Amino acid sequence: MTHILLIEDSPTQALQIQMLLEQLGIDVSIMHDGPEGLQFAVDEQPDLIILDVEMPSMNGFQVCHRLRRNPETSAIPIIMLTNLTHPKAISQGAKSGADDYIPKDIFAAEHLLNTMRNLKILEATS
Amino acid sequence: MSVHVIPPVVEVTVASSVDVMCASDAARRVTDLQGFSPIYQAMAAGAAQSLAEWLCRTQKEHKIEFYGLQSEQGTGFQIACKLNWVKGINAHNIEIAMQAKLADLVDEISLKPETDFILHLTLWLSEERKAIVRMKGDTS
Repeated sequence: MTHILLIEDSPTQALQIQMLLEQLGIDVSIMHDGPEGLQFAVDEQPDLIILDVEMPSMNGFQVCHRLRRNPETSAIPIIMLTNLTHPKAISQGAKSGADDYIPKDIFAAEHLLNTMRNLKILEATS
Repeated sequence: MSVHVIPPVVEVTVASSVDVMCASDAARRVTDLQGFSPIYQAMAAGAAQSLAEWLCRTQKEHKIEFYGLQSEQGTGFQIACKLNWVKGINAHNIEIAMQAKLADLVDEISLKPETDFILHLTLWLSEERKAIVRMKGDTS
């Protein structure tokens, strides 16, 4: 079963994404801050990490950078799902090693699933 | 240098903030069809969104075109928008302002008065920018 780690500090937004993914038969684990998420990624080796950017204690760019620097987590695909959409933030997301950077707008779910297909996390027919 | 427009071609009219999301979405879909990897799709979408937000502030309706591009340099993605209203303004200053805003997201930004004040934002498609599949254990 595909296993996704969702690092999101907002419980309501985490629940929305979890419901979307669980409908597709995906197992979702939720961590509410960066340090918790980093440890979970090392221990559990999820198939994909979905990462919020604006979080307390450690922001998503820092988490992404650390995941990429650690050989144990460097190959895990990372999708940033965020409200920060100004050009500098997108460029910072790319530089920190994210595989995608998706704004939380009305198209977010569709783009998230499409990227998961591109990354072969989801079957093309899902 | 001869440049040809290639499919997909999409046009979005930008008049309100709702259209900003449509512009961003159109850029993402076109670059996806062209084979850009998701992070480059995100960069194209970000550039489209920033441009559309800026156009909204003018309170004039604009059409933004999104299309593929073929030239001797290779294949790419281009965003084009006619900015007739800048005729009285130094086009070079607008180009500099756009560079400051979008240089991290696109490869080329040009606004040439001789092309009827059409702003072009270009992102070239190289091998490293094509869709990637990262496998577990692959640290490359």
